[in-house]
Amino acid sequence: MAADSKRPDIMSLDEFKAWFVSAIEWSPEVISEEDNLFFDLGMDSVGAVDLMVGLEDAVGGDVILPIELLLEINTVRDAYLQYCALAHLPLADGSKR
Amino acid sequence: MTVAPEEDARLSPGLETRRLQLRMLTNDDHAPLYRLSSDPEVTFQWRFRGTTPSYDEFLKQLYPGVLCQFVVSPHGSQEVLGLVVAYNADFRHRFCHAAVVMHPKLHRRGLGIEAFMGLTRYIYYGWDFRMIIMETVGIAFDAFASGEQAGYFTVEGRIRDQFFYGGRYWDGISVTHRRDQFEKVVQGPMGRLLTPGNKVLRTKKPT
Repeated sequence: MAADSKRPDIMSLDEFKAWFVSAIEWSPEVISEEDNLFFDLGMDSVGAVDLMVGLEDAVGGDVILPIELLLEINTVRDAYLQYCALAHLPLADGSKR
Repeated sequence: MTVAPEEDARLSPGLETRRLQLRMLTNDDHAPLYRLSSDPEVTFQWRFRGTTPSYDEFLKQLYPGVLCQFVVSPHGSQEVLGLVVAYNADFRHRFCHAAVVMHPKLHRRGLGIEAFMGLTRYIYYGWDFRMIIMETVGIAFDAFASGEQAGYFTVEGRIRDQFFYGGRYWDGISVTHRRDQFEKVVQGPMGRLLTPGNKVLRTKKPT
C-alpha cells in the first residue's frame, strides 16, 4: 500500500519523452519516439545503466527491470513500452499499482 | 552502528547483483564458454583474438593466472551470459587485472558493467588491492567510454593502432578502476546495480 502511494501516475508517451530529456543526462534536448538509442542517441553501456536506473526510479525505484525487457529496448518508444510494463508489474509482496 | 539493508548489500561480498548472479565455474559451463569464445563478435576482443584453439587447449588456458572467475547468469538460471575474471594479481604492489566477456546480445545494455561491479565488489572486499587494471581494445572501449568522464575509471595509457579488427587498426587502451573510484561509484546511481530490488512476479508486456 505504501509503495503504491509513492508511485507516480503512468506517463503518456509525450510525457515520457519530456521525462527522458530531463532525466537522462546524455539525452539531446529533442528526441523522437522512433530514435534508436544506440545509433541515433549514442547510448553506450554507461548510458544504458543510467536509463535502467531512471526507468526503475520512474516507477518508484522498487522494481527490477528484468533482462528480458531490457533486451527489447532499442528505441525511445521501446523504452516507453518497457516503462509501462514495469509500471504495471505486480510486486512480490502481492501489492499492485 | 546500524547499516541500512541497501548499504549492507553494496558492501557485502555477495555474488548477486540486481539482475545477475556470479557463480562458480563448473564443467557444464565449459562448452558454452568455448562457443562464446569463438563467437565472431567476441573472439577478436577476447583472449584468443580470432584464433580457434581446440577445446582442450581452451580448457588449459581457462585457469592459469586466475585469481577468481565467475560465470555470469541471470538470477535463478544457469544460462551462461558471460564470464568475469580477475587475473595476474600482484600482491606486492596490490593490484590485479580484470576482464569481462558477455554474450553479444547483451552488449551495450549495461549488463557487462553490472557483472564487472559484482566482481569488483568481491575483489575489493576480499583483497587489499589499490586498483584493478583492464586492457581493452578501442572498439570495446567505445561501449563504455562515457564512464571516464563520469569518473568511474581512468584511461592510463593508449597504444595507438595496436590491434587489427574489422578491417582497421584500433588502439589498445589501459584502464584502471581504483578503490576510491569504486567507492564513489557505489554511492551514485551505479550503486543501484549492487542492490536487490523487489522480485518481479511477471514480465509479460502489456498489450
